Amino acid sequence: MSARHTHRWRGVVAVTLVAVAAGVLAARPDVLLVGVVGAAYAAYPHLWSAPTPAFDVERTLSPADPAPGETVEVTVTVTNASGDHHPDVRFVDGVPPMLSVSSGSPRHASALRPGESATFSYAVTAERGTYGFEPVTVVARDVSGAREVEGEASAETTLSVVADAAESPSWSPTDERVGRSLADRGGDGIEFHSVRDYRPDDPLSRVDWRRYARSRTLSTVEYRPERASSVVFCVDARPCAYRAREPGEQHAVAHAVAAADRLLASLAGTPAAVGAAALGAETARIEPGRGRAHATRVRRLLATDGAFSAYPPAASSVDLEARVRRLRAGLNGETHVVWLTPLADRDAVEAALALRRDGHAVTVVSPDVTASGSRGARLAAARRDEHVRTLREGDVPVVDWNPDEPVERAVARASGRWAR
Amino acid sequence: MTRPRVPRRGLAAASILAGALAVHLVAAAPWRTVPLGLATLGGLALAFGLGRWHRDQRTIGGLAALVGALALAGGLALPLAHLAVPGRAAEVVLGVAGVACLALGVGPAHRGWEREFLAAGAGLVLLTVVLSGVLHDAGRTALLLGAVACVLAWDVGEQAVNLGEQVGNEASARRAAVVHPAATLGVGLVAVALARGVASLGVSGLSLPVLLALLAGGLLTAFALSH
Repeated sequence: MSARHTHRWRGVVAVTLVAVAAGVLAARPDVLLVGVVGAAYAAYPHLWSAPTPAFDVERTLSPADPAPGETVEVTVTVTNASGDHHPDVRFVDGVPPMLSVSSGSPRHASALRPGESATFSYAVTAERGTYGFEPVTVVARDVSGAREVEGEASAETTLSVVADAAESPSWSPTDERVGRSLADRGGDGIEFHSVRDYRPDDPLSRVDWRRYARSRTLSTVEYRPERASSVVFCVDARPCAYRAREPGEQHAVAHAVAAADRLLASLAGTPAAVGAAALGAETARIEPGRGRAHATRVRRLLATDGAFSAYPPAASSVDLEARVRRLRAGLNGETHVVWLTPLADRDAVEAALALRRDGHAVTVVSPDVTASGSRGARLAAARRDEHVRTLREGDVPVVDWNPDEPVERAVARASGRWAR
Repeated sequence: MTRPRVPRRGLAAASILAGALAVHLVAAAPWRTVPLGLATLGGLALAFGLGRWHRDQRTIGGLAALVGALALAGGLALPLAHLAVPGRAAEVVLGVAGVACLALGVGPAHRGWEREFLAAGAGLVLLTVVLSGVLHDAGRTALLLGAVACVLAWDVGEQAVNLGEQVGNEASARRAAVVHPAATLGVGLVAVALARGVASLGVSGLSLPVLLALLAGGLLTAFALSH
C-alpha cells in the first residue's frame, strides 16, 4: 500500500492570501472575512489521516462454464472490511489481460461504511483458454481527497473456457490435423513397415533400389512413423521476450501463452501426453501427462502461474542456458519440444539447437512481434530472419507466426511443408 | 476499455453551475442574469460538446461546442452595452470568463490541461468575488457564499477530472460523486457560520495593530497546519 498526496487543496491558500490582502488594502472587513473561508478550506484536508483500505472481494461468473464466444457476466462484490468509513473509494477489477470487456465497465467508485458492500458488474467475451483474474486495485481517498492510498484486494477466480473436442462448433478439422502433426513429429522412423508400388511423388531415398536392380520395377519402402509419446510446450518468458510490435499491444509472451493453450487444445484428440514449462526469470513446469484432467491442469498453470505472467519480471536478464540444461535433464528422448519464442536473441536459437542435438524433435513457434518503420525495428526484424534461417539449417522447423492469424493455421501451413 | 477518460459529466456540470452561482451572488449589476445565464448554458453546451468530441462523435460534439462557444461570446459581449458603470461590467466579464475557463477545463478543451483551465476559471471567479467586495458592498453573506461556491467550482471540477481518470464515465460512481462535494459544501457552510460569528463579535471596531496581530496569528496557524 502506498499513500500519496494529491495536492488538490494547494491553491486554496491563495484564496486566503488574496482575500486578506484585498480586505486590508481596501479596508473592507467583509472581504477580510472571506479569508476565514479560505483558511477553513486550508485546514480541512489536515483533519483527516490517510485512509487504510481493507476490502474483501467476491467475484462470480455467470455462466461459470461458458462456451467459446459466449458472453460472461462478471459480478464483483467488495465489502469494507476495515473499521473505517471510506467516503471515496475506487475499484478497478483485474480483468485477465487476454480477455476483452464487451459491455459495462470493470471500474467502480463508491462511499462505504464499515461492513457495507458495493456490487458492480460487466461482461467479457469468453475465448478458449483458462484465465486467472488479477486482484482488484483499490484506491481510497479521505473525504477531502487530499490523500489517496492504493492497495489490492484479491479473490482467486479462474475462467475456464474449454471447448469439448467433438461437439464444440469452434472445433475444426484443422485442429485435429494440427494436433496430429505435433503429436507425430517424432523423427523419420526406422521401423520397417511395408513395400508398395512406387508413386511419382515418393522421395528417391525411399525407393527400394535393390529390388529395382533385380526386377526393374520401382517400389517404395515404407517405415512406421515414430510417434512422439509426449509434447512439452516451452514458453520463452525472459524479460527480452516481453516485447510488442507497438506499445499497448500484446507482447510475445502473451502470444506464446495463448498459442500454447490453443495448441494444447488441438492435442486433445491424440494420445500424446502433454506438459508445459516456462523459461524465464521464474520457472514453472508441469511434467507430461495424459487425460483431460491433466490437460486442464496444464492450462490452468499457463493461465495462472506467475512464470507465465503478462507482466514483465523485474529481473533484467536470465541465464537461458542453465534453464535449458535443467529442462533437458528432465526430458526423455521421445519428447517433442515446442519452443515458443519471439527469437529475440541468439540464446533462443542455441536453446533449440541444444535440444535438437539431444535427439529431441523440436519445433519453434515464433510469434512475429517485430515492427517495420524505424531503423531499430528493421534491424530487429532482420536479426530475427537470420535466427529463423539458422534454425532451419540446423534441422529445426520454424513456424513463423503472425499473431494476427490463428496459430493453428500457421502450424497447419508449416506442417504441410514438413509432411513426408 | 479504450474509451478516453474524460471528466465525469455530472460533476463537470456542477462545477460550471457553482462558478456561475458564485458570480451571480456577488455581482451588483441588475442585468447580470442574462449574460450569466447565457454563460452557464454556453459553458454546459461547450463541455458537453468537447466530451462528445473526445468520444469521436465529431459532428454532434463540434456542433454543441460551437453553440456553447457562441453563447459564451454573447455572455462576454453583453456587458459592453453597460459600460456606463465600468466596475459592474468588469465583474460580469470576469465572471463569464471564469465560467468559460471552467467549461474548457471539464470539457476538456485539451487533455492533460484540465486542472490548469479549472484553476484559471476558479481564479477568475475568486477575483470577481474579491472585486465586488472591494468595489461595492456586495453583502457579507453573499461574499462568503460566493467564496464557498468558488472553492466548490474548483473542488467539484477537479473531482470530475480525477474520477474520470480513474474510473471513467461508464462506471457507476454515484455515491463517490455525491459524498465528496457534499462534504466540501458542508465545510464551506460551517466556515460561513464561523465568519459571521467572528464578524458579530465586532472585530471591525478593533485598532489596526490588534487586527494585524490577529492576522499574523492566523497566518502562523495556517503555516503550522500545512507543515
